Amino acid sequence: MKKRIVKIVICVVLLAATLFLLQKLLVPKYATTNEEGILSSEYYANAGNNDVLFIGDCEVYTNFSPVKLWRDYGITSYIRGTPQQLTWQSYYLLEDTLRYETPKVVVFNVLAMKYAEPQNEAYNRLTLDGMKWSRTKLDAVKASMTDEETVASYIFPLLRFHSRWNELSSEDINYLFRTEKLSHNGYLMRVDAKPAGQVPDPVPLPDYTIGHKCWEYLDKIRETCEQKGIKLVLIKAPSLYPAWYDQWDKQVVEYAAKYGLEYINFYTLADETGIDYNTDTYDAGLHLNLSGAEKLSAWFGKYLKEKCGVEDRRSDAALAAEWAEREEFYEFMKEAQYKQLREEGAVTRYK
Amino acid sequence: MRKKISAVIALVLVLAITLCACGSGSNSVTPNNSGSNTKDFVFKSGSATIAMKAEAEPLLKALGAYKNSYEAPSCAFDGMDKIYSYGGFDLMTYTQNGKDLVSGVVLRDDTVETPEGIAIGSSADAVKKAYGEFEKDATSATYKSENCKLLIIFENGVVTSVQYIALVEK
Repeated sequence: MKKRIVKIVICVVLLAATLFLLQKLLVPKYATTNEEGILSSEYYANAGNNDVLFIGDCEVYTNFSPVKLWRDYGITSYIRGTPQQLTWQSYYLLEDTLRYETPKVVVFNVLAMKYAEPQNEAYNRLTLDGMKWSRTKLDAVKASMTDEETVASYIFPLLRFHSRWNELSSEDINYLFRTEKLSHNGYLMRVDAKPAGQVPDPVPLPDYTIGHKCWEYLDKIRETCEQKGIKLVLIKAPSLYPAWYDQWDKQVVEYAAKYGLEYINFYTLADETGIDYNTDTYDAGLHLNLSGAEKLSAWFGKYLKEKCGVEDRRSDAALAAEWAEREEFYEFMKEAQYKQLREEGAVTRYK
Repeated sequence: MRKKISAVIALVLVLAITLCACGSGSNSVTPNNSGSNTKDFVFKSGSATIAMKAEAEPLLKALGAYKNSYEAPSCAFDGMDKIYSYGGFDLMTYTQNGKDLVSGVVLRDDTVETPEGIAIGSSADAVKKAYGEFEKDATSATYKSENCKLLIIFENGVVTSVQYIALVEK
């Protein structure tokens, strides 16, 4: 009888180990292409001690610099931003973050309110695959799936990626069991500049009503913050494109007024923040570069300190040591990108 | 015992190979689009007939110099959305498999019209005659062909926007 049990155990372990290794090999690594895919998972090594949490799409992870907030104001912060992060995904990332820490301020970028329904699997994967497993992740997957997706493929990504074997590259071997640090507490650095020039006129829409599902999840974000004693600040990053319509803005303004929330549309504050669309964006007005992100962070840090009461924590020696390491990595990446600009004429990789 | 363990190993390997081999084609998790052009709504300008999902390069040559262009890279994936402004209309493209394909045309003023004779400023009745009925008091009408969604927006019974939008899988 014992022998039989041992045999069964050996078989199960062998099968599980094989499937585990196959899955590790076949899932995308996001190491040298589509690097934004590791932003979601990078948080867990930096969880705790963050007084400010940013949630939202690319308009948060390219436009704010936590290192600048620390340097100028002693503010600790983390950006849980991912590409095309939908409003319900922002809510679940907030809920996920609350499993590890309770920030004093949550900053939500409202651009994703334009999407009332799940959009596509590719972007879903970038946000969801990196989340640690929990009830929260399961709920996030269920809320985000398009018609073609299944929960099982998120639980066992091998089901989704098993046929990727003919696309395997050296990246899949080199990063089989490791990842390389990419962001600066969620901030994705780009130092190059591309002037905005003439931005196309917005395309008229048949209906400007923000979708019910967005309001439902913004309510959840607001109520969760209220329950936890967290101040919620709504923002719209200062992008020139894609269009943020006045009709959408008005609805967010009304929502903020109804619930006594702060809403800052940074596009209207270009003079105060000093954003220059000739020098402070790397892709002609969609995202800010390092110069722009530091200008925006300098303005917003003052706001967080004076209007939200976020404390200066630079006197905490342990924290200061942690942030000194982050500053070192920040300077290393900055120099690496300027070197690419000098020697190759363009930034083609983050480091 | 050895035979049984060998059998289990063989089973695991077969399973692994099966899992790996049962898929074919592209497995990149990137937005993809596909389709063909037949009996579609098209927009015409000079010698250029612009169909949705058509390759942009020959059309750009046929259209001549544009007044302005704008490039909007994808947030995460390869590819670039481009917008070419020709004054009366904008031509939008997206990238697929290294080629720029037409994703849309937006009429910007009343100097241009659709081949069916609808322009900004046309009446809702003219739209019905050209493309067919739509809901009474609707503020927009949508007509679909194989690769194109034609969206027409009204204000007080007058057309304010005409948009050709490529029907692409998300």
